[in-house]
Amino acid sequence: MSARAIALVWLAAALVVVPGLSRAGMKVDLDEELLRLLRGEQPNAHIAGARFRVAVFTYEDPDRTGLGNLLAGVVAHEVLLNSRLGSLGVLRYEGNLAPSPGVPGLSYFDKVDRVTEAQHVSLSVWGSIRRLSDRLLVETYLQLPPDSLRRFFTWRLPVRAADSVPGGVAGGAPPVSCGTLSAQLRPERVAVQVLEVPFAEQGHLSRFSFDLLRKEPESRARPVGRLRKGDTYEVLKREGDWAQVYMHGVLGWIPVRPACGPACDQLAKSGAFVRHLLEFMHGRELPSLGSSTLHAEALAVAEQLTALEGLAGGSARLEQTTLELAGRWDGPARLTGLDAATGIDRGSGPPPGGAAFANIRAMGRVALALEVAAEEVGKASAGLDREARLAMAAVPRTELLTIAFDLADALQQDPRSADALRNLVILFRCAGDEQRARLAEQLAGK
Amino acid sequence: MSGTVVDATSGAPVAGAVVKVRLAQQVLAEAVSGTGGQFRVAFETGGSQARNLRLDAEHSDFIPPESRLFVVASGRSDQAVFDFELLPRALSHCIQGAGRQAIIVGQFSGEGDDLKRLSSRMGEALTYSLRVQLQRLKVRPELQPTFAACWEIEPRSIDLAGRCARALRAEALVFGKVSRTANRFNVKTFVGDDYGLYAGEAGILNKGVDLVETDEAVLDLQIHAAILTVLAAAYQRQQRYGECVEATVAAERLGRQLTEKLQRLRRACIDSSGVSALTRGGHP
Repeated sequence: MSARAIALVWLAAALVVVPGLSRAGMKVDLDEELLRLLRGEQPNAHIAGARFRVAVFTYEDPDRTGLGNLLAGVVAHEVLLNSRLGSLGVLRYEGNLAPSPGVPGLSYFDKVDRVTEAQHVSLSVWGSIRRLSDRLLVETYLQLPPDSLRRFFTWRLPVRAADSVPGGVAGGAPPVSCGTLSAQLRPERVAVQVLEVPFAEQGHLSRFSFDLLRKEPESRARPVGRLRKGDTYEVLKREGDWAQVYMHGVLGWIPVRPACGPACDQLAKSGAFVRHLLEFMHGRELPSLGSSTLHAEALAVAEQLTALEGLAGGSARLEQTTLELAGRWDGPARLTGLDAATGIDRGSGPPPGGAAFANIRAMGRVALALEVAAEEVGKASAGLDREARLAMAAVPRTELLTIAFDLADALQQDPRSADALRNLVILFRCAGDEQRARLAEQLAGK
Repeated sequence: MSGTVVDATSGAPVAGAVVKVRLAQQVLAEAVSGTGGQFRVAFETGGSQARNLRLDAEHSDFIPPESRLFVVASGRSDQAVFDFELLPRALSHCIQGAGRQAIIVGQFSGEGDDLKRLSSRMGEALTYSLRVQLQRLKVRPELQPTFAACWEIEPRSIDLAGRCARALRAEALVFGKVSRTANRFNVKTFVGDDYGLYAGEAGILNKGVDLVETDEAVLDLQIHAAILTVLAAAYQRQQRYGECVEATVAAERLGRQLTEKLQRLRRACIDSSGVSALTRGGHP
């Protein structure tokens, strides 16, 4: 049996015998797809069988360095070829995100949104390369569409309020359920990395290509094909730093790790961050950044995920994780400057995501108060399991009012925070301050 | 009645403008502006009954401005002095549509091989970086700025640039001066705005810009931050207080400093947004 026939059998097994267990990539013409969308046509979903699909767009290149596609290729390869996910599709959109007469009224993030909504991808990546006087500035952004935010990055916490003591077992009206607090990962348009590359590397980068398929896993091996727009290529296996792919009857090898110098190695960290998010979406695995050149927003996202996952983890985790992490970005103990663990600069101004960490802190405090109340319930009614105790627990209204006021303070720096405003409606209402609850409702409606 | 006629873009007096007093379509009197742009026009006020009159200024090289309305009763006008700012016809393509945050990139004057291209290049650079910043903050598309290169505009001062921006229905006018150093250029950039935020300020200097390859010219991030500050003021005027606060946040990030202007704008927008009423001392 020839190598090609073996590969075909393998591919069939991957796609048919174990449906969804495959990884594939595809290059797509951005302008063509946008024009179809503007004409009201709905393009077919690319790599439709993959459980997770990621769109990576040509990096915007306003200074015409010619590296936009290469940079997108580095990130796309890192996501596709190093991912541990069994079912993944990476769509590499080639085209211009800048305003253009053919696509009126849309540019950059808005163009990305339009395409990714139509394709229902899990997340999108794009970026830019700018020429400064002596160096290149490469920025990478990640965009989470509303559907992904709803499905994978939303946390909820039902609240019960009592008139006085924790558990609401003494005096006053009986505890009441008064709403569900919620938080979403913020911001949903994330600056993942801002990388400065010595100008001298431009020439080296421009000689590199991701699109060449070679006969053997070896950089000097004979080219047997080229990845073209519209063609899907399946990843069959890895061998060292190479991956074997199959595309339209051609078997070939492409490099896994970009060998295009230190700039590519650094940029691949953006791709790795995207992989971490996909792994979280797949199995709630929390990202670990290690020592990193990523942007403060990437650190904020990683810490938000950890903090929000801690909401359901009991008193100790709430104190040591959720509230501790929220406090790193919000409040008097806000950390500034270089982060000791990652080396990422946390900055000093308003935190990424605006009031997001203040919102998490508010939810963490409510969750902790519920845990304390649940303990009281347990003392009064032995034999109840944790779930049952929590279901009966309630937070004193006075405590809810304090939490609401603290969140309102944080809102002053981010008055458009819909998450915080919605939670304030619930917190003020639970606390019995109907006037403020109505005002928050009005502001949230705007 | 009297007044002056000046060029809105340069502040230079406009001689030879015909100023007419009209009652409906009937011309009651007319005068021609002198070398200093001044005019004086006399007419019969016509009894004690109040009449609504109109004053127009016309010049073949300029776009006719909107008529100025006034009331005459019992021989007296409710206004005696009128100043007209006329826009040159050559700039008619620079007038921006209403209801859109427009920034005009005017001329970068001085030495250089392709100053026209430079203006357009600066417009492209600003479009990229500022629109991306605002989109990241999810500012709605209709509130995102447009950048129009209009290299013919060469204001003589920041104050005039602000007036010019207003006349062209833009929020701000960015312009600059270019001087040669060795084999490169220094570019000093100014922002004139409709809000007087940057009136009287020194420009921002970019040293060693390559103007042979204008594609390589980049603007200092302080200019970007200044324009975001102007946009924050525009949002404040439109009562878009949330967007105003976010534009100040973006300006602080880009400029890497919280200037007094930004702080003032942010405070004012927060106070107007209604969220302060949710705090402990607030009054909902």
